[in-house]
Amino acid sequence: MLHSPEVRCVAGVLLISLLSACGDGSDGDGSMDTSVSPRTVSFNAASADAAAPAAQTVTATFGSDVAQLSVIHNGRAVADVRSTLTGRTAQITIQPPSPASVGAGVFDGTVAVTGQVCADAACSSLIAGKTQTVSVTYQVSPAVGLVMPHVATAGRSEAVVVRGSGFRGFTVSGVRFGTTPAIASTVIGDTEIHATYPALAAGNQTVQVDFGGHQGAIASTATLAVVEPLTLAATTLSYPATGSLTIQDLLYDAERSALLVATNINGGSIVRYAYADAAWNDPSSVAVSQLRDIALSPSGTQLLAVSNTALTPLDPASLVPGAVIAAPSLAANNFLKDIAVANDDKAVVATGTSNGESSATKLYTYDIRTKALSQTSATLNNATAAAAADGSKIVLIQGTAKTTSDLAVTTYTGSTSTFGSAIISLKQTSVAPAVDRAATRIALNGVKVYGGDFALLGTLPTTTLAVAFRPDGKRAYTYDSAAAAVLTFDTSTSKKGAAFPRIGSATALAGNPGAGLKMTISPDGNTLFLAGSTQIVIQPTPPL
Amino acid sequence: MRTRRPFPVALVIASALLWSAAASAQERAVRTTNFQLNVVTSDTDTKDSLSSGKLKIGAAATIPLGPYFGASVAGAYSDVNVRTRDVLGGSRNSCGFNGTEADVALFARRPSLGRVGVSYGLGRLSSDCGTGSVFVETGDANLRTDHYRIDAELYVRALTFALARTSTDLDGHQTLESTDWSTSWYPLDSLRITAFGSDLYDQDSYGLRLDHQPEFLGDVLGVHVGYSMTDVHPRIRTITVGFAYYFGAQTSLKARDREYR
Repeated sequence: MLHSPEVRCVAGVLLISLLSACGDGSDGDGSMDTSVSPRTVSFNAASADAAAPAAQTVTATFGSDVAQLSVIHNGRAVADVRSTLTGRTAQITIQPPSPASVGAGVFDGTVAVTGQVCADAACSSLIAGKTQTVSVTYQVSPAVGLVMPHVATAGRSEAVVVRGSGFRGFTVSGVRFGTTPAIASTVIGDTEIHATYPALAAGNQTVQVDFGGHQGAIASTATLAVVEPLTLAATTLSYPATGSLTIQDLLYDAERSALLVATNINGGSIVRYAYADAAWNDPSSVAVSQLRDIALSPSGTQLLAVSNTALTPLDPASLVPGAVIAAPSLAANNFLKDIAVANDDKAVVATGTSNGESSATKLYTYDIRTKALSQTSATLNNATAAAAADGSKIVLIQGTAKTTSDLAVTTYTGSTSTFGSAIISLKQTSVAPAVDRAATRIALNGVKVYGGDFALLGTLPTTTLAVAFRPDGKRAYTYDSAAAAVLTFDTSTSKKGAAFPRIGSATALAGNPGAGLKMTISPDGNTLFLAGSTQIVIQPTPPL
Repeated sequence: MRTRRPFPVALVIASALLWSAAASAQERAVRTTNFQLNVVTSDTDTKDSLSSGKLKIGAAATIPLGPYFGASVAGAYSDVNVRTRDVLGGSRNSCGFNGTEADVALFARRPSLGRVGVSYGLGRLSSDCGTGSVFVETGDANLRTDHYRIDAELYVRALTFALARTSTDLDGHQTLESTDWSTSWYPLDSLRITAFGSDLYDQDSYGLRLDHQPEFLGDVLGVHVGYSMTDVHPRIRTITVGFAYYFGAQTSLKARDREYR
């Protein structure tokens, strides 16, 4: 059979066919080609919260034999690609994902452009021609948002909480306060770093975080206001009105050396006392109808005031109010009662019942950046809030005079922006809760002092009307009704539920603040501020 | 797109067939109505580009039209999975095509001499390669095709020489003209060895295919393997394996090719 004429014929045909088919493997006329330009694309986003970068376009040019253009992609740098054809060119638009969806970091991607050609004469299927690839890189930068406390005392090394985004997207190589590096820093999570600054000179210092592997500058809106420690003389300040006054709250704005008092003057007013040139200036005030409470925003750039039904941000220096934000779905006979801020740039707004009924009412959070006042799923019973100066924790204690049993103490954690129940239950009294700088000491009802884990550390006298902790938590200052003076207690170590030892003698005040007492302390721990129905009392802390 | 002139060749063969058919009326173009089912898998690899796997399922029926003519109808569905990892690595978008096609053919045959025929077919291709992938002619993910083909086969003892000219319209925008040729040899009645080639896109592609229809399976099951490649850049290689099941006639592969389909 091998020698048959047919074999020879077949062999001849095959030989001729193969010889005619064997070309040089060249590109032919190039009509199957596909080319793409440019071959690299880079995207950058300033932070995970930023808008997605604008899409970029590459141009693909392909030969006349190409029947289909396959544009496929992979990698986290590319969310979508679109093609627009014009003749034998295609504009391929590459869209990166939103920064929030990928978080901070450097991401890669590839876009592959393949000209597919007909596989057979009837074009019943396609086969790939040439493929060209586009390399895509996408950098989503971390961002430094705020530092709490935002006020530091010159010449003193202390710890702060730095909040932002994308801290885990790159390797943190250091934290700087202006040009001064932190002496310690710990990355707690993607949005939180704990850092300790050395003794700094007075002035505003931008907080910067350095990241290995990041290209370009990191945006920072965190400013640490370093102020000289103040030694204020004991004195009293009068209110701009007389009569039956109720003090809702007072706070000291150390950045601007000003005392802010929330009162019921003229149906609700914020009174501001500025300290300048070694003297307290005459107060300025602004009316906020039905005012209930005030708090400074974490960055100190806004004064947040809550009235019965709304929240109003104000300029903390000029007291010029911003747009009023009404509380959504607030029930009748309920009112916004209390506000405290956390280091997630949010404030917790508790509500109460106007008739003093013991019942659970809504709890709101206010997003300072977006100006959104939102109802949470949690409800609390006429809660009063107190926040640590570093914004790590807000403590809320519940109940009214009509409450018959203890209620769970609730916390809001800045790191996670979540509410939780502490392991203790109490019914609140008229004495406002107090928390030290880092929430290591928590005083509830003016009597019981807990640690950050709500273990009972010790007690204060039952005659306490107001409490303030030294920022380091090692001293508690109380205004004592029996002594009509400020008492000092050593709270540096746990007494396992026993009374904390009183140290030093009672400190008489420059005047009687009156009823409904509120008390706070300056961030440098040097001065106590007490406000009651009669007047404001400025009192240097006892040197103990 | 490109114009060639294979039609005179087909006309010559057609004339010869008709003349021969008139001379030997006892031979029939199609002995009896018969059917076949096909399953074909193929793997295509384009150098420095993508590779793909394809599965095609088809059916065909061939019927006699008097002593000299026959007709066939065929349909097929194909699914192509493009292996994007070839260029994208690990995780990637998927990419694939599916196609449907139908074809009708009319032919005249003299089993001892050859065959001439014409056919018309319709097809539809759809791609699923993401939002950025489009057919050039339509700007979207679908392409309709229709084609005309004229073909001729010459039977010389154990050899079959075939030539086909196809004109394919791509959704009314572009026309592909191509010529396919093949030479088949039957060393056994159950075995066919085919060398084939095409000038589609003005590039030479060629290949070899072996068909076998073993007698011990009752002459109803056929299997084939094939290999083809192009000789231009990027070089494209295709390996094909297929099975066919025949209904309506139990006969040898050579007789099936020349007297049944």
